[in-house]
Amino acid sequence: MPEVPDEELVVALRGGELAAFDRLYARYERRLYGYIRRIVGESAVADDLFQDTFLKVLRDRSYDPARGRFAPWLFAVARNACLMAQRSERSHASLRERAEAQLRPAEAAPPDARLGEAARVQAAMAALPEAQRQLILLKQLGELSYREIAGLMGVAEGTIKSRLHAATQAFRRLLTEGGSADEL
Amino acid sequence: MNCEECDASLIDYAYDELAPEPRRAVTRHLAECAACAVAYCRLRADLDGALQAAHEAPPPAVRQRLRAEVERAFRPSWWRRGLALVQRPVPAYAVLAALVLPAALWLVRASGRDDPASATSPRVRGYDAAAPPLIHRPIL
Repeated sequence: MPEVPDEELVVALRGGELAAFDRLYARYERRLYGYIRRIVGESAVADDLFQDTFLKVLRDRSYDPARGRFAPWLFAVARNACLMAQRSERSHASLRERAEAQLRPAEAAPPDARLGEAARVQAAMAALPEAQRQLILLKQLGELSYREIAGLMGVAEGTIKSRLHAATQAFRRLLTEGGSADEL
Repeated sequence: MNCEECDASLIDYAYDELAPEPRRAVTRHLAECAACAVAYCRLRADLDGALQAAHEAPPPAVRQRLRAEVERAFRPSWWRRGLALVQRPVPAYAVLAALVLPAALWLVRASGRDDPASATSPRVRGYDAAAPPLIHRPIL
């Protein structure tokens, strides 16, 4: 049986079919929450942003499911919410620092051998400059196309392509060499 | 396609951003060139690792709160729910009739059995079988 597209689920939910929400939620909970969490760091803030984003997107009638995909809309709203949250913080730098500290493996205690690879990947992601991390997350978690990311960020598609190439190479360099973002 | 061209397209290939024809060319090259195939597998593994590490489920409480909000916002009003019930497809009505009709028949029969008057044969008042027909009776 073919999977029901997100856009049809949104229409069904707006028509009062609550089961459509459960299916949408199952599709996006880990991706959207992971994205928000990687941007804002703190779990309490991420919880609120996740809930607000989901509700806002579903309630907002300006989104027309017949005219565009649901995922880019969802991640665009999430990205804006994260940016607003970051701006509202007194010190952006301290927020970033806390986020990185939370996501970086503890230096004192070496990570569990089973978690070693995941911790290494997380450290490499955390060490990336924020713009590059955003791009990789939007591509990987949001599953957005170059065109959709370009539309979301208001730049040319070619620009996104070259930036994403650079971000991917930087991430892989960090992963293999364990360097810091300053070296990039 | 040579290895250099393949290498330049590998990230786009992994991100599924190549047009069908260049994509086929890369696929063909990867099938023939072990070095490029290994390079692609490493890239794929790194990207999959990034994806896995970034996935994270929200706490269950967040889901419950969100579900409650969605229910409040999108639960249809009582008259819409009633309308939806009426608009159900025909097979639903057939099932309903199959359930209700035997029950109705049983009720009718059961109520008939309970009434003692209906158990005996009906009586006709003022009828005398031995009396001559009205036409042969003297009127005056």
